[in-house]
Amino acid sequence: MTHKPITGLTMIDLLKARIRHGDQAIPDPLKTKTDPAFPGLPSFRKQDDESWDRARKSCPTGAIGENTLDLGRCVFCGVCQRNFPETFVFSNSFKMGASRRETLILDGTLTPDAYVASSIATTPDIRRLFGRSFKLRSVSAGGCAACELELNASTNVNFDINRYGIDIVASPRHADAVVVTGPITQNMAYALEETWKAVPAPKILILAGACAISGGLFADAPALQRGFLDKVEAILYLPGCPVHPLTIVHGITALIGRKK
Amino acid sequence: MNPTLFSVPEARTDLHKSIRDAIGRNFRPLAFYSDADRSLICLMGNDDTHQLDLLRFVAPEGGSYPSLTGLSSEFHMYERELWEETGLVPQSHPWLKPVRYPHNRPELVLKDHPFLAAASESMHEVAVGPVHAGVIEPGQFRFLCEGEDVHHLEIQLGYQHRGIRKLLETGDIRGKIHLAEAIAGDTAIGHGIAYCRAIEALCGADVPDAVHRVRAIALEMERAAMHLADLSALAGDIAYLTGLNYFAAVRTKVINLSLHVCGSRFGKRWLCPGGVNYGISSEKNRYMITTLSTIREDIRIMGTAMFNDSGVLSRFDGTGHVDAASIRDLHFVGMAARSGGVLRDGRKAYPFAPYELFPDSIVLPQGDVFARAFLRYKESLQSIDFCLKLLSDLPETPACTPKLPEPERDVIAASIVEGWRGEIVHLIRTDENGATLSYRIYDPSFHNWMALALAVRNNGISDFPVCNKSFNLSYCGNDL
Amino acid sequence: MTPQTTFLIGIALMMLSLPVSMLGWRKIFTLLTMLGAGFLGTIAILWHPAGNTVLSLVSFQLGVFTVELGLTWLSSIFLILLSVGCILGVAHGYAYLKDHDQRGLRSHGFFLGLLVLSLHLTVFARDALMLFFAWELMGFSSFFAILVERDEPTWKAAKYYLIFMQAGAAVLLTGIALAYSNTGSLRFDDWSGLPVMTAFVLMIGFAFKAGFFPFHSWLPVAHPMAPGHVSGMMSGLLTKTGIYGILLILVCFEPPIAGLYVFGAVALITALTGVFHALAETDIKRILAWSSIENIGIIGLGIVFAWLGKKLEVPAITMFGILGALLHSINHSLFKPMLFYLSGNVQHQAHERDINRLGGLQKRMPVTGYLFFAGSMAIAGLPLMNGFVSEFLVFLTILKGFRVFSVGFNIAAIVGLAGLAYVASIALFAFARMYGLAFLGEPRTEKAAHAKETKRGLWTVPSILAGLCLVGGITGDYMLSWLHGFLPDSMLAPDAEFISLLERFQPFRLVLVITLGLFLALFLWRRRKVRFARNATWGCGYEKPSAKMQYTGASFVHPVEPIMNMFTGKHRELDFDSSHFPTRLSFVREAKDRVQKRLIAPIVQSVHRFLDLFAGVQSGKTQVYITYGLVFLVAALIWVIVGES
Repeated sequence: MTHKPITGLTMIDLLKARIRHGDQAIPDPLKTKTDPAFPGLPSFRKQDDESWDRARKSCPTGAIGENTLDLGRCVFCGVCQRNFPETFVFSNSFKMGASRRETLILDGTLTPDAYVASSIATTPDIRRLFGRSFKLRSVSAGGCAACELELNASTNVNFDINRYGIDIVASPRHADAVVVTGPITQNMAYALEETWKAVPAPKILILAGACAISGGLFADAPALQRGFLDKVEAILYLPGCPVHPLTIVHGITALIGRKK
Repeated sequence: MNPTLFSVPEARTDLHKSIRDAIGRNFRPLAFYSDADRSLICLMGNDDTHQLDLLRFVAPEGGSYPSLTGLSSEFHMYERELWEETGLVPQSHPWLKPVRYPHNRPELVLKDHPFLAAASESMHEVAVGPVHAGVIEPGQFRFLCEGEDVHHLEIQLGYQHRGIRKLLETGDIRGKIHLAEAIAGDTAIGHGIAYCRAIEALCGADVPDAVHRVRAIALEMERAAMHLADLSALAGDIAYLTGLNYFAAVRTKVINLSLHVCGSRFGKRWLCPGGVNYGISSEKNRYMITTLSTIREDIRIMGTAMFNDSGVLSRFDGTGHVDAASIRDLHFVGMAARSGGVLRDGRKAYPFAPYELFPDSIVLPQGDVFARAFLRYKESLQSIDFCLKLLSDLPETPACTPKLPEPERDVIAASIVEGWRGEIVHLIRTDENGATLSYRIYDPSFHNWMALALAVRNNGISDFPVCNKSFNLSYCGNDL
Repeated sequence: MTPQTTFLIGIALMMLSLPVSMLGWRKIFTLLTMLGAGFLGTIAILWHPAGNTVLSLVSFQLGVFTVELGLTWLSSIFLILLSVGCILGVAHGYAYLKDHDQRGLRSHGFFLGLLVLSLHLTVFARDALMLFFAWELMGFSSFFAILVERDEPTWKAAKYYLIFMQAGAAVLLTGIALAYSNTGSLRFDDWSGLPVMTAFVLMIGFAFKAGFFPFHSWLPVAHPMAPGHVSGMMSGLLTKTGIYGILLILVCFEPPIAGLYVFGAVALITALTGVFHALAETDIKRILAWSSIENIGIIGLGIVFAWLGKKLEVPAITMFGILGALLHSINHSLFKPMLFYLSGNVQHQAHERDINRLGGLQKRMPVTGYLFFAGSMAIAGLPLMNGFVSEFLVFLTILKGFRVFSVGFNIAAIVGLAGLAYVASIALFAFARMYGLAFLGEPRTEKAAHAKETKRGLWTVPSILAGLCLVGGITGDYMLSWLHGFLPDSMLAPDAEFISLLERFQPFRLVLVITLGLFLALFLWRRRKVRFARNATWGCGYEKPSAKMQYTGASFVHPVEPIMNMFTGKHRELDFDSSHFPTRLSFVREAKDRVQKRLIAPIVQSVHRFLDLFAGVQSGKTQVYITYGLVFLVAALIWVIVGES
């Protein structure tokens, strides 16, 4: 059963790897730029009613409303962008998080800069309590596990959210906030409520990804139970399908007042 | 050859005889379920001759029938699912327990799962989940332990069940790519291709060769990325921090390449039935070749260091062993089989166009955590080599988004795609109007969860994390 | 008041208590016994003799023998230990049996009173005749005191105990006869210079009672069956008379160095056997019984090193060793009864002694729980409690041995130190296990779930004992100074040594008091400042957790099992069809005492068989056994007297 090592120079190999690895951390995740292909904060200009209606019908999650685009429902599938490139323009800005659900419903009047400037509101209390140490407990409740992977990635060597004193902890007892991913299934509803109860006050609810915010692709699925969200109001919404690690880093740091 | 469209065959009555015959002819079950008309449908495949056989049987009378699991335990998961969905009892099934506690069977209560319990005061149980300590999907793991040693592990899932099949069965089947990509987000490409190929068979669409190549590139990039993610996680679990960080960084490079092409790090929105939403221009091709070449060297250097490290090997060697007999008996698929000496690879058994060029699958004999880790390392290199090979003679490929014809009526379309975990099977049946009657999904995790349960037996409970990550099975792919 | 009158009053009170008990006046009985023990104990406190002198109290003529009762420095120390222990034990017994079915309690009181009397007489005896009389009285009275519950297992255990005690008494009697033929006297004062063989036989006789390996197996059999207060007194006090006897003999002769090494090995094996069984057992009282064996081993190590110090002429080692052994005897007589009383309370409330079936008692029986925790800290030798002081002293004794150059002794010191360190750590492990499994977590059975806190009376005595343990832990140096005052010159080292010893403890106390104060202040401050929310234990959000999802006795010790099995044997049965789809899984792990199983049990069996030959005379009635006992005593007396003439 024993595997024979390929070479004998383990230490040299390790050093080679270490040197090649170098420094992989993004120097400042809040100032970095994503790949131009990344569909981030959109802006839109309604050209004519007919194409708008067609776009609206083609949207798989109904994110496109009468005159609005709901970031909380949008799965960034690009259908509208590809079919109506004049109407829908997705910038590569990842700073899409918002403190209020209504903020996510874009009406086309705000410029991306104006959106980012006002979307996330921190409070003196949050800054005082969590500004230097903010511990998250993740609850995965349905969905497709992509948001969970991105949440994990936000702690990896590239994005390294831990540099801001933010960490994902093993037990809700140690946590300040619950991050929900997924549309919240019936089978998971009890566990989510228990987790929330197990977090000592003061505590915060964060919804990450389209599924958690609005049900996303699964809004009409037969096995959901989203009653928890009627009882507890989230104070941070992180759009995306899945939510990009930079969106997570930006949203949470802004919430706890670390944004500079 | 991969014939994937079947007309609905006549329902037969000789269930056991036909299945026994098929097994005798070296066929294995790729799907077995009760269709909307309550007839039983079984898709059998022969890996060596690349043949697929679709069998249909009349619904057993009286609400029960002699279990096929007695004939071959390969059916045990299918029959559990069948019983759960329809209440049809496979008599003398040894382990008849719910699979995912679906929404339409409220009489099955998740919290009352009939776990095997130890009849002993000296033995304790460890119950983990559904909310785990890491950022992972929910599931309940019940260990029966003698001190720190695990005698038995039972895994109860269903927390991720959201009813995705119901959503796929409603409305125009051709516009469901987004849902297919969300069956399991870490296998968006795998399930996406499975969906696309089933739809293309159903609608009789002709797909250009270049599209197949782009898809194969996407699939292999996904494979490499997830193998690297798991290598990183495995290294993290044994506190081999260089591996943890290095592989995580390399994975980022791979998925950022996917982002560069299609805008999603997971390859979501890359595919569409009949084509691809994003092609590969010659400029992108050059960029991809350079990047993938660097990535290949990155992986090679880190893998050499890691798999020569005696500390790493001492944790991996012999841990979480699954023997080849169990792999065959219980129908474990994909890399879980290939790391235990059993060749099961949909890319070779049921290939689509570019995979005719694919080199031999890698098979390792050991069946332990080492084998699964080392296989991931080897396969990630192989996948990147294959991508480079395909890219090297890929012509300028634009996006290709044809409008597909109406689905055929009263047929069954099947597709088999080797995702990074193993073979993904999708089946679609249409009614006489061309509307979707049923959409079946079999993620490799559906079979392989049992492999994890077996692997942990007689191991220390502290080795569970490495065993778990060496498989890294999908909860949502199982729960649907 | 003179010591003599005090003595007579004490004895008279105790004698008076016996008929009072038969009348059923339990309160008066208890008071009389406590008063009697108090009077007797006062003698040792007020008039304990200095040096090697003897405080003679009473002497009278019995046939050709002069029976003498008196006190030496050694018996004074043990007298105090026994008086305090008896006063508290009897008081607890009163509370323990308050709500008990009244049937059989009169005779129980009678034998309890007799046990207290005999314990005291043992240390007052100045000659072998009186000692043996008291010894036999102690054996019989404790045998009957066990029998409050008259069910089959209790009977069996009590009979096992009786056979064992009689075997020990027979060895002791042989030793006494040998000593008499060697010295021509039964007075201990005339026994100086006993031949090694005689002393050896006598020490074995005492070792039975102390519970040294391989004569220990009666403790885990008898203790669990006795009611709480009796098992506490037996474990805390009765075994100490064995230690007293061994010390009594040791001062009478010159033990050869090889003999001391053998004794040391026995003591270490006793401690290791005891502690590993304590770790393996799941019955609270058996755990405590095994832990008594462990502590006897530790006391034995202190004694061995004290005498090794004499051999090497390093008085400091002698002084440290004897102080350690005596202090540990005293400390053990405080925390062990306390834990036994508390385990009696647990049994009383939960009707269960198996830690695999308890759990969650801290929430249900908070006072008992806190006291049990304090007792566990003391017995595990953790700072703050008295067990730390005496165990630490034994460590210091052995450490002193490294300063001496003698290969044999250095090896003994290394082995002893390593062994003792191992014993101490495993004891901590064992008591963390017992406390954790019984008191923390969730109840594993309905019985445990319905347990309620006892009445105040049942935790009064344990609280007093806990207080004494705490005082002993914080004022360890005062205790040592006090004990130092008893020692004769032959056990003393230059004052500088003793002062340096005290100086080691003083900073300790300072640190302890400050830490404790800060801890308390922090606790009170937090209580005021912080709002506590109560919530169920985090169970990963699972909807239906069960009490099976907790460590069991076997799970807890699994990591040390390979070493433990060397002492306890491996008794493990796994029933698991390890197919792909298993249907049954069961597993049993038990600890078995090898000595008991392989050596003692067959002997006891054959004794039983031998007794069965007289099936007609074995009626199983109490009176009949009393008659047997008396017949045995008379026969023994006749034998001794005939041997003399």
